[in-house]
Amino acid sequence: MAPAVRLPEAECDVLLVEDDDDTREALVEILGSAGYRPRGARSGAEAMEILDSLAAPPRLALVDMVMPEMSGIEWIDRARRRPELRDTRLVVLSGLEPPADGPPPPGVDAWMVKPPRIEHLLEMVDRFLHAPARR
Amino acid sequence: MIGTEPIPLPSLDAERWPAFVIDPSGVLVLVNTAWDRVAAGAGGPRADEAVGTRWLDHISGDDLRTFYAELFQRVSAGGPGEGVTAPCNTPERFRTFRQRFEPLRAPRGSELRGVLVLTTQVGDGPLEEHYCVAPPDPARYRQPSGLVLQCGSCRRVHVAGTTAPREWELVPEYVAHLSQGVTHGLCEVCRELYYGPRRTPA
Repeated sequence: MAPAVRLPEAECDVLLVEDDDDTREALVEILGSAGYRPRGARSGAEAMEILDSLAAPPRLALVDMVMPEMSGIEWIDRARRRPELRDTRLVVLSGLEPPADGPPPPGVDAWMVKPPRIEHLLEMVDRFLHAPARR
Repeated sequence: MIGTEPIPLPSLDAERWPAFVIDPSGVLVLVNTAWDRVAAGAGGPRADEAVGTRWLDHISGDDLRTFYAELFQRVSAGGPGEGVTAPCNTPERFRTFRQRFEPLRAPRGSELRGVLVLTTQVGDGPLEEHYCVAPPDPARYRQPSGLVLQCGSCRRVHVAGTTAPREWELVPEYVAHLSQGVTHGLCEVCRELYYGPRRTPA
């Protein structure tokens, strides 16, 4: 029997865009301990630089809503224009509750209130990393 | 009337604070007039908007929703009534309320018809007697980025320029009215509460 083809592991499967150092470092640490390959960016611009450096796009990006210079919604809007991120799930991290009525903002797959409990974070990451590709 | 058989309900409109009835599926079926008064001050839905909606949808925060969902389940499943005491402050007053959850059953049966929730105020006093509070001084709290950093859990705000340890202060105005320039992070206490001790030095 021919050996199964082993796909190369992604350098980064979860990109975390968060301007607060403590929050970003804590979540990257938790995700890394859980076996994921997270990368943290302290700003939208740094996140774009990381994306440019990756051989393959991450499956999931967690994006803080309020950041200096480039807001989370602005970053998501730019990310959605990049064809290579077509299958990347984009989740807002916010200290505020999501809008009460209607679906998440355009381009947003889900909304997670900060600070997330570890079990909620890992459940959500696991769900999106195993979600089928978009059509 | 809830269900097919009338059950006696206290006169909820005589209550000074919100009182309401949740049916076994978790939907608000009755709210009193005090609901409107409190909702108007807190930006919540009016009584006529609230009836017919899921009660848990009016609770903010995953942890709090989970807590109340489990409480509701216990009371609905035949447990005794339960009470919850929690602070609900204004920018000026320290206030504590107690909510009592009581199962409503038909007089001649044991079938649950709903859960009655009664609210009473059990504490009231100046905020300064309970917390070290500070006035909303943007120059004191604005970070070099121009944003005010607020802990997403305890809602204290970071005193700009303080490091190792960072200083955080409770500014009631920033809790009561969120402004556009507020970003959320975690203070050291809440970071440890949520994620355990830091593995690498700050």
